[in-house]
Amino acid sequence: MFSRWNWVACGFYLVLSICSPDASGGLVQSCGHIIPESPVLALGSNFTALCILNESCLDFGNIYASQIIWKIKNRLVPKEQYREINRTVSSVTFNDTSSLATPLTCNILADGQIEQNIYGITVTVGLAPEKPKNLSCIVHQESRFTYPMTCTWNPGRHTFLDTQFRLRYRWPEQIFPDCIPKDVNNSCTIDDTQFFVNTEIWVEATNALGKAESDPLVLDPIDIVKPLPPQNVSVTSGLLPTVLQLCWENWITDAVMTLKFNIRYRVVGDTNWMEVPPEDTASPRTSFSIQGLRPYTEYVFSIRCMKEDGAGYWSDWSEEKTGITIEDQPSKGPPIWRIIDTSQSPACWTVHLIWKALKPYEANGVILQYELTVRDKSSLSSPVKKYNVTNTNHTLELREGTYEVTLIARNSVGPSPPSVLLIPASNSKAPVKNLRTLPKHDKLWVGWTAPNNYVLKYVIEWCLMSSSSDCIIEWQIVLGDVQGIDLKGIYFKGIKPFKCYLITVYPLYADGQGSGQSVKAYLKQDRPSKGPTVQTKKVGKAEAVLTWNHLTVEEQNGFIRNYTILYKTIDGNETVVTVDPSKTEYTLSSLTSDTLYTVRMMASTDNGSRTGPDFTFTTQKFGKGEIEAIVVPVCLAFLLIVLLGVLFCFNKRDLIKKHIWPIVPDPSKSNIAQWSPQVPAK
Amino acid sequence: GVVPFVALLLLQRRPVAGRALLVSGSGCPSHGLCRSNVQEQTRRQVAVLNATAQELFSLYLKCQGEPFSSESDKLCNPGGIFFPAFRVNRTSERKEVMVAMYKLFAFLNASLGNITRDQEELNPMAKELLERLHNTTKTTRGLISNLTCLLCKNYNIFQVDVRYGDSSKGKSTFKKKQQGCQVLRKYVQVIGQAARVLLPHLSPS
Repeated sequence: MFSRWNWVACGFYLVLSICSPDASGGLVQSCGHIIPESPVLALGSNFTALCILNESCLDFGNIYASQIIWKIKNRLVPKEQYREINRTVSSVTFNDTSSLATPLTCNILADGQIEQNIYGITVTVGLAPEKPKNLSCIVHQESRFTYPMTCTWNPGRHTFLDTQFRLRYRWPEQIFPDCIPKDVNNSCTIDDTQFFVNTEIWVEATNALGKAESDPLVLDPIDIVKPLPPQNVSVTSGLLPTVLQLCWENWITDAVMTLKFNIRYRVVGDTNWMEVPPEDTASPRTSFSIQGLRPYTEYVFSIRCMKEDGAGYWSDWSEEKTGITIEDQPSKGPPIWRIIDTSQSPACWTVHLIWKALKPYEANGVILQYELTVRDKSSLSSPVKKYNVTNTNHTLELREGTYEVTLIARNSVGPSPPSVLLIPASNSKAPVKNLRTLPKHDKLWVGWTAPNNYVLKYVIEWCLMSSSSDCIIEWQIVLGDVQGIDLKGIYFKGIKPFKCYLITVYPLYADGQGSGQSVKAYLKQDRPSKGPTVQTKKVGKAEAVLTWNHLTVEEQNGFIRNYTILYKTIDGNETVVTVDPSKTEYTLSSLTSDTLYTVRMMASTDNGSRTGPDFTFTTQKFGKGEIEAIVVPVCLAFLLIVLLGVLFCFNKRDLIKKHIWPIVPDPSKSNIAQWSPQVPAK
Repeated sequence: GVVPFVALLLLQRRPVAGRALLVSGSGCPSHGLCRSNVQEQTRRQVAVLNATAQELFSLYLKCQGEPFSSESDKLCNPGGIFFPAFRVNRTSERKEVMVAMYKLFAFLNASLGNITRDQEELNPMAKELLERLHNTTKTTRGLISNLTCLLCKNYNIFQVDVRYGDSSKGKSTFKKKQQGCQVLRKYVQVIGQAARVLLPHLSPS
């Protein structure tokens, strides 16, 4: 058992624990308190707190309400807001709680100006909830039997307080448990929805400052259903090539809700949907036959549904399903044309028959073969030749004459209508007039004037001109009432800019063909990719003959409108001469002799020019024949003088002889010789 | 609305007649939920129950296993249980039809509650059966609510004597299953009759 000293120590300890200060350094807790305790205040309202001193505190000496000072978060509240109610009670008033923070403490300035805390409260400032607005609900069908209802609303302003929202709903005589939103304040889902009972739904918002209710919504949940889309959609082809049948399963029974449908479909690869007229599917059904489709074409289908009377929401579109219509006979014959090669002999033709594969909506199936029939109309006794071909061209060796070629395309259902091409012996009929072209963005438009009203069709040929390869012909057939088309290439994937195309138009008549009229055209021109290289053919004293080659068609990039020759001396002005684009020579004249010239050429299209490399030459000092004109006369004169001199000398030869070689007397005949007859004669 | 159901459930401990208090206060519900579309809603509810009754019964038999799935004719004869009489036809007075309907569905609501409770204990994995029982019970409750509106609003009827069947609590597994199939078999018969009778009375005029 405890000793007497233990009891004394416990008692002493007990007294000390009552009297000793608390951890905050204030007086003992029981000295006073504040009312209200932990209030929740409306933002902007006024608030008065009272600090009430306990009577027991007054015994500590000189502690009165007048010594109380209030603090908010350790900032002193101005004394003007205090009021001493009595000796033990002090109040503080805040006219606008917007500036109020927490904690609010009641402190006392005890003897010796030592501030001691008496009590403190937490103050929460916020707003009462606003009336929830825009309440709306939707029932999502999640499975055959599961229909949760989700309601959403606008919760209103932020209250700065913990605000609980509840979705409440009731029948006439039954109130259901509230739906409490999880992690959000603006929506709630009721798992168990019952149809065919008028249900009142509203939202209640509650916090420490009050409660607000939304306007009620009264509805039958059957009228706000978003059903699941039709399931297990299947597509089957029927007996007709333009019909497909759709079947599906509805996951809402007719007893619960009769449905209406939207059916949409598109060709596989196309992005545009077509829709079955809604009025055709505005009644309960599980199948539908879509008509007016293209034969042998694959379609994608999708269906959605909603309540038949239009209440509620459309379901999502169902899973897409595809189906393909069965084949039908081709609807038209393939367009056919010919290229005739007479290079071997004018009387023997190599005829290349070419035709275009039918487009899918014309072929109506897989084309198995083409059947050609060639009939010699020049000789009725000649047998008709037939050919079965699987590609889109065929070459024949024919004698010059008139032939009728018939072509049909055949698929598994049957043949196409025939395409007929007349190959006359000569293209003697009237050609088109006024053939012209007009660039239009990325297409080249070709137009012409019809020769007369009896043209059945026109064939337009065009090819890309090239200096290094053959012109690969593309062609198109249009009806006789058309007088202009945009060229759309296959091989070249469209008409390219800066390329020269040769376009020829042939009119086809029932009994012949007109000659082709041609025109060259550019979709878009540019300056040439290089300038002409000029050089001299012959240089004289005051003239020089310049020569150059035309640019290749690849280098031109447009129609060359002119050449420009620019030449100059070292220190002279440049002279410009314009030359016709058909020329390949030009003579510069009035040049200065014995002078260095620099010349260059520029080729110009409608869209710019390009200059070629410089070329230098020096004019001759003397003109042609000038030297001869000087030398020859001089020589002739010299010759004449010589001749004259010779003649003169001849005439005066005696004189000349006399002077030039005088006669020297013969010493043997001299007198002295007679004197010495003893000297032997040598 | 909750109070009368609690009272009814308590009364199911033995087959006694109960007096269903239709409205919680004097007068008909005044908050505008008893609207003119209640007739059409009631007809749709009966149509839904009629359309799903046979499937519910067949599924129930399948889930009870043998001998119920093969000898339902013998075991599920409703002659041994109480089921409210539904002795009205198309020519009966509409008020009489409404009262008969109320008695029928009040009984069914209680019985379905029993059956659902038993099946949750005996066949907890039979998800589809429990879902169908739950949906049928929900529809029945909705139907009772609409009938309450119609009786109160059109005929000022606030009380209807309702008689309930035996509770299955405390009975053997076999008896529970049998009582359930007897009730459902009778239900299939009666709901079809109710749908036929109700049509002229509740068709949109």
